[in-house]
Amino acid sequence: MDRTEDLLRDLGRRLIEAHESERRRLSGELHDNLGQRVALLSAELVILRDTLGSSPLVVDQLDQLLAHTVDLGTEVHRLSHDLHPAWLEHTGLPDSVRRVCTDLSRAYRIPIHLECVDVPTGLSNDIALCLYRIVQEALHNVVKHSAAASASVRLEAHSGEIVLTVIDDGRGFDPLVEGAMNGVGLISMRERTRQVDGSVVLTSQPGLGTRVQVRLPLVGSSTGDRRQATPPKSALEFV
Amino acid sequence: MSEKLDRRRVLLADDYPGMHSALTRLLAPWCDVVGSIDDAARLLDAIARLRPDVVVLDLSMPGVDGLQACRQIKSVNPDVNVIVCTAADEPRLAAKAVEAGASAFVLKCHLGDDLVRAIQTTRSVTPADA
Repeated sequence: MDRTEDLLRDLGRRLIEAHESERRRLSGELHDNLGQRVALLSAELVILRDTLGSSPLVVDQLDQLLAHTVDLGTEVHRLSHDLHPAWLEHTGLPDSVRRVCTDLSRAYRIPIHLECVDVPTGLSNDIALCLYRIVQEALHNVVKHSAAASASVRLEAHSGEIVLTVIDDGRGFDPLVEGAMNGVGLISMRERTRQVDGSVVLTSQPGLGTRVQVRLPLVGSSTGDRRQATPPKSALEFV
Repeated sequence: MSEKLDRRRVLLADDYPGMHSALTRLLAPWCDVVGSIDDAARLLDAIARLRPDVVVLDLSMPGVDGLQACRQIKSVNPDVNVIVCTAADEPRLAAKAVEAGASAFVLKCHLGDDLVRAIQTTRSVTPADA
């Protein structure tokens, strides 16, 4: 049984690595190629506008083209960042998560409250990326499927662990219904937390919203104590 | 667009093909582009040779940490203004760039309109002009 568990864990790790690698490649292509082309296009449009500046009509039309180009550049960057948060290391987890909350809140017109308490600055890349991806996945479910009026995200580190809680007040669902817990997103959350010895608990009831809580041990971070608890055998639980 | 600059000397550090040509034409009415490099490892050497007033630095050049490059420029050449360019619209990144010594943070898709303005702004904070 232990060998099967090890094999599954290894397979999960390799799948996540392959997934992240492909996302990183696509993100880089968007940022380094398409994003640069859009930047170049916007610079050329300004040069053209300044060259043909004698006609107000032409200037007005070029300004409109420029505005569309800037919007395109913003969207390319948003997609690139969505695929792989290249600046997670520089900007840190709280600011990167704030960006996700702000983008989704604006795009789907739903208030998303974020609270970060004592989040260490020295989080490992594995833990930061795991939490970032789960926030993305959980909030994606909220805005796409829950019909929630609002949602909240809380990140808090204490007693040697970091706890992420995402709550919405949407329609919820019955986890006991066959297939309800088999979505790719939920499986991905489970695998990601398992890779860093954490756990995820999903709580939901029809009409009463959904709550996702992830607990990860902080090993060697600047504020975390080393958690000695045994990793859960089944990382995805539901109540 | 704006009042003519006092012919600031500008060094471009960007590795994307076509960007040097476009930015040189964009800046030509306002300042002198004294050089362009696409390898950040040669940045300090280029600054020593070309003596620019302003370096326009792409934060995402391969093989180098753009923020670290900005710190290095400012530690060796405190009088040189660094304008950081990036496609990443991240407020925290802008703050980090300023902490690293950058005079301005310009988004790449706004380069056309914002770069000349940013270069003009550096003029008022250059020690030589004080």
